[in-house]
Amino acid sequence: MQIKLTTIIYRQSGRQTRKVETFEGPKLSFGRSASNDVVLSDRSLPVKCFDLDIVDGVVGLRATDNDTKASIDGVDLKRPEFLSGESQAEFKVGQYSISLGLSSDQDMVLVNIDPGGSVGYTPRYGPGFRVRSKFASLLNARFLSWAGVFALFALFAWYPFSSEVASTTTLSSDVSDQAPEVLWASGKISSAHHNFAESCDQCHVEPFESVTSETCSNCHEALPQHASALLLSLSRPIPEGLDSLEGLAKAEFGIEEGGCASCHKDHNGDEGVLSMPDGLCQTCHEGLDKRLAGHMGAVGFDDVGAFSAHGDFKYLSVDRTGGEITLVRSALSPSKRDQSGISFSHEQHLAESGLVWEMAEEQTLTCASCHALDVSMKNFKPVEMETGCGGCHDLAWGEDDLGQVFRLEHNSLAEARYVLARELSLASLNDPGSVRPNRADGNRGVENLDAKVTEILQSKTGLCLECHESALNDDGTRLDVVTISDFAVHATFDHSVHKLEPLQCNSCHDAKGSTEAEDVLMPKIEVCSTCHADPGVSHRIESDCLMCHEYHATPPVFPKLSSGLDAFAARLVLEPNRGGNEK
Amino acid sequence: MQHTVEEWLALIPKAIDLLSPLSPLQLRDFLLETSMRHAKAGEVIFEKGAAGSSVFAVFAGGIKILIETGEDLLEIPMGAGQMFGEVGLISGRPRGSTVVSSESTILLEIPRTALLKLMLSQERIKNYVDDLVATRMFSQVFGPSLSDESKKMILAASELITVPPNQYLITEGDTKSDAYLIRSGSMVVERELMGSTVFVTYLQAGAVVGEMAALMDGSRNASVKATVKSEVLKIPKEALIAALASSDDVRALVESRMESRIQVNDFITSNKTQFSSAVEMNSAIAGFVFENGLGEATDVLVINENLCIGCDYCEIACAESHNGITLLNREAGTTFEKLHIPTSCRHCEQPQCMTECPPNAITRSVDGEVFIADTCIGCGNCERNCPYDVIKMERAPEPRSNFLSSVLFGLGPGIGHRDRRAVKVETSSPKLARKCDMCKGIDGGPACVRACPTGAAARVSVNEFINFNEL
Amino acid sequence: MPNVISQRFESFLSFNRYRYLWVALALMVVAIGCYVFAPVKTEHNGGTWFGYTLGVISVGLMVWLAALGLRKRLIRPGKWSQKGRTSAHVYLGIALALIATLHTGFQFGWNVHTAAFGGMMIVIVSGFIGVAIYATVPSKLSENSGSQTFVELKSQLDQVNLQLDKVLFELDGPPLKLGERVLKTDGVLVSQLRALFSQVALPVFEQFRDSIQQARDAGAIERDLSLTVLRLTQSKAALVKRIRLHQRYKALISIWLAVHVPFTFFSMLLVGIHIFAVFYYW
Repeated sequence: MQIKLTTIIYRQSGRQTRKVETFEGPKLSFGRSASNDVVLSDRSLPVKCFDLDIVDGVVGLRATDNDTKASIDGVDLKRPEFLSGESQAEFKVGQYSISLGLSSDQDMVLVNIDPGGSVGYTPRYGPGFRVRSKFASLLNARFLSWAGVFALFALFAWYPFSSEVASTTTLSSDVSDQAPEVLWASGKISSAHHNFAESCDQCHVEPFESVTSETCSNCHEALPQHASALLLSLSRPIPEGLDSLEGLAKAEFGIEEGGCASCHKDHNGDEGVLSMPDGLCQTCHEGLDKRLAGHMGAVGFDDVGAFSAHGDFKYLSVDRTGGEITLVRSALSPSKRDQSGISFSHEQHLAESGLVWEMAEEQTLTCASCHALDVSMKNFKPVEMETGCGGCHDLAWGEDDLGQVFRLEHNSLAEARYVLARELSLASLNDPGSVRPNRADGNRGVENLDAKVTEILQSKTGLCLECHESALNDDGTRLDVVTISDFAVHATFDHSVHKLEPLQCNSCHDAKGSTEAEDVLMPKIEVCSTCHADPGVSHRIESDCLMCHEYHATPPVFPKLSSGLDAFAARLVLEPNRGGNEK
Repeated sequence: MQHTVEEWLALIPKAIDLLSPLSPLQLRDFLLETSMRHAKAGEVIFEKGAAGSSVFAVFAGGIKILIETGEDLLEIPMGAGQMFGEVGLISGRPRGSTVVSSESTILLEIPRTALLKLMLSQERIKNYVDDLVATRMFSQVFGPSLSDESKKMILAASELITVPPNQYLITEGDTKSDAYLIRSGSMVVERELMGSTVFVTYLQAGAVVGEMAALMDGSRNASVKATVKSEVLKIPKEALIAALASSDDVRALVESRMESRIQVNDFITSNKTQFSSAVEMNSAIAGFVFENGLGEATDVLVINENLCIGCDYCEIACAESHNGITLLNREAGTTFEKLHIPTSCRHCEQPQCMTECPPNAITRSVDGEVFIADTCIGCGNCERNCPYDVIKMERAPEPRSNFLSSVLFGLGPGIGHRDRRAVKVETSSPKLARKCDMCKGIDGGPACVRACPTGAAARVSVNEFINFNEL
Repeated sequence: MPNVISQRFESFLSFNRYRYLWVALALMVVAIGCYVFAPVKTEHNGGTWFGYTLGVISVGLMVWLAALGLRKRLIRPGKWSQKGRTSAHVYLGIALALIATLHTGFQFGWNVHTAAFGGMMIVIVSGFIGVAIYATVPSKLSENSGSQTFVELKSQLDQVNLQLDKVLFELDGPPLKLGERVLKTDGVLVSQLRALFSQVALPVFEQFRDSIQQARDAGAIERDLSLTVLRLTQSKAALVKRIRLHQRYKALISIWLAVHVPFTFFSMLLVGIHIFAVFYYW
């Protein structure tokens, strides 16, 4: 049985032609590959599609590709459909329409193939394979720049600035450190100023103007001034070189010279408001002796550029030269003495034998026997006569008529004189011969009572002159004792922190070598410098000015003393406004 | 002197031998293309190293050619009727010496093309010029003491040969013993050493080659190959020996030159084992250079690919300096041993682009760069003639985008790019030939080199490229 | 490369006998010397006169360094050299890192001031990376692409793709699957990421080796075509490897700029805010 294959060919011109081929049966293979008898040029079809089979004059279709997904409409390729008689079959394979039929004489199988258009290979890939030489356009630097610039501007400029402007005067106690303003701060604000953290304008009152001392003093009222404005201005060196430029720049930018901000900087986080950075004292104090020559009287100023350049300590002492009692501040030197008017020998009291030792029940006194720290734990309490000395020195001057020892109180000279006069008068009452009624001076009975009182007081046995030999005047009416509780008026010294092994009192104070009360036992600065040194020196305690000195301290005013203090004992308590260095 | 045109036409051929074969009509045509020039005594006509393509003839007066030989300055006087400047005309090379007028002089300046045209049409003039050029070259090669008779003798004995590119003029081991004078083009000298070809030296027009074998009766000890189409003058051994015998000075000069060449040869042979890699590398590079036609280049853009990051700022700079049209293609071109020769004009010694330019718009400027003048008619001959594909036909550039908006927002075509949206200009203006002019007239020199951020781009002349003495 | 030619080329790093390296070193030594010896009364930070001086120098340097981007685009006549500018850019950038660090006085916090410094340091560090890339990648790029341009490589790939496509038209089974797999192109992003991070060779070939073996036993036409598919796959793999390496190197050359350039603008903005904030809260 022959197979007549008629294929319609669509020309590009649009014209259709027919190609007629005749095959000898019994088999005709259909498929995409060129190895088939009939090539179906459709990419969707399998390489081998189906076979047209003629078995015993019966025409059937048999799928050759089990995997094929191509469907043939209306034709079950699994069960060959037989064509017989005048029956015709039409079906579609891919884009092809195929019709099968038998010729009228049943001698020939007629196969008509209509591709439905031009067929054949058409490239799926045009030129211009998608490959780019440049990296993904998302990484375009210009795009990233703009996006980031907007984002960062919003975060770092708009956000802090808008919230700063909005929250101008609200002062809240509940302040978070995450406030937008923090982004502009150079550092975390100190805990002291924590409440201002969200309203920068509390301190930075005007934009583009530096913080003024005036603003600080709104809260920090009446802080003691370091010195008078005149003195301060005189003490500042005339700037030279770079410093003059700095001065000019500061003037140009409106920055206060010598104001609070010169020393105090906030925004240092947990370090708090920094006061007085290292070396700022030296700006004035280095060469101050020359700039302030003539000021501060004879003592003058020192030229202090560093701890190592610190001169001898100056101490306050009582001076009695020429009969005048004055307070003098001068450098430690053997010739200068503290003429308080007290006689006392530390050596004698600390001796390991002798009178004091015997009186103390054969024990050696220690410093602590008389000296005790005061509440501040920095300085020592003044030694009180009654509690400190009274144990041994009891001001007994005789026995009364009942045979009891009569003691004077260590209150005042006038009181002592009165008590003595009264006792003498009482004693004279018991002695009728001595009575002189109606005396003009009111002291009845005893003649020359004052002289007798003076005589008693001037006796050296156990009374005033035991300790106040030089303080009692000739007629016994005045006792000019002036004691000073604090010798170093411009500095603080914390004794408690120096109570460290192996330091003892005598490490600094040579009490055992002192036989006179005029000795000032304050150590020289060389003693300090065994442990203390300038910042930066190794194996020493870094010591800046503020370790001992306070900037905001009122300079002490020394009272004018003169001979004739109307007091039994004038204790000069000089307590300048001194809180000690908090740092 | 007041003369009518006819009188001038009679005077000029009398004064200038070159023009004597011309009929008055031909002369009239020819003179229209030339210009007469007066030079005061002591005036510099041109300087050594200057680029120039015109030829001069002395009509009246006299000039002197200043030649530096070592420390001496030699003056060669020339009187009325003589020609100078012709070497530059033939070889396309810069002027070899300075020329100064020795008295008040009248010169006839003849453009290169005019003379070439004349030489094509007049056999006698061509021979005259060729002989003149050869004679002058003899003077350069053999020194000024070579007598005129000897020159004439050599000239008569010698023969002009044209060597196609890459063809060997002399083969190593050959027993032929003629010497050659390179009239135009360039050659490389190579030696076979231990199985590989070693580059020895590079020869330009004006050099003599092969005289060693001619004088020493040995076989050739090196090969000589043309790098571009070259013309050589073959000088038979006998003529050379006769010329040398005529003057002791000439002999001494040639022998001393041979001496140094023998030393170089010995150096290569003896140090071959030590320097083999360097020598081979140099040979390989030499090969690459000449294969790419760089042998005829006077100035070429070379990119060091160890440094090139491919940012294309050389192209952008080129476009920015040439109204938005880039005249170089960085990526295209050949690469060898990290040396990349982008598609860009090499400013050939004998630019083939010049040959068929109807308006004569392609010229070499005084500084040596070959450029296309505004008179270009856009015929495209040069584009087709250029063997290196570096001439483009492009329409007039479009308006550029604003610099700031381009930098800040990326608006517009961007720097160094053409705005494709400007269609109107695209279609209305004619395509004209555009090529690298080495940024002629732009302060700072070639923008491609200035704009390279890493130092990968450099412009080199072939002499720098291949410098045997550096070995 | 022989000496002769390498001498002709001078890298931006060695420009003018390392002139800007010496300038930068001198600048750094002076800055460190001043930092140690300057008579500054307080501890070092941006607020001292020395700090302000360093700050002004830093800002000047920063603007000048950033202006490289303008410089390279402003192609004008004149005796400038972009190479010299790049050289100065690299070395003075290093100097800026030091000077700006000294300006901070090593005081850092969570604020715009430190952000400005951090942004600037990111720029400088990415610049170091850039210099390292510029020093190493160009030669690899050159070795990879040889004399062929990227466009040529791409058109070769187009050719291979077309041939493959044509062959596949008459193929089925494993060879077709392999071919289709090989023809499949990645999206732009995927292919770029692959080029950057993944292995560059096409992995599909190995997977299909066995099934292709089977296909070779099939009929004559299919067998020939299968072999063609294999051959084309191999050449495509080699081509894709080169293209991807090319992309990788090109990406390396430009990708650091995606940090360097934006952060340049970020740090300039932040420095602007920093200066404004300092003077606003003067």
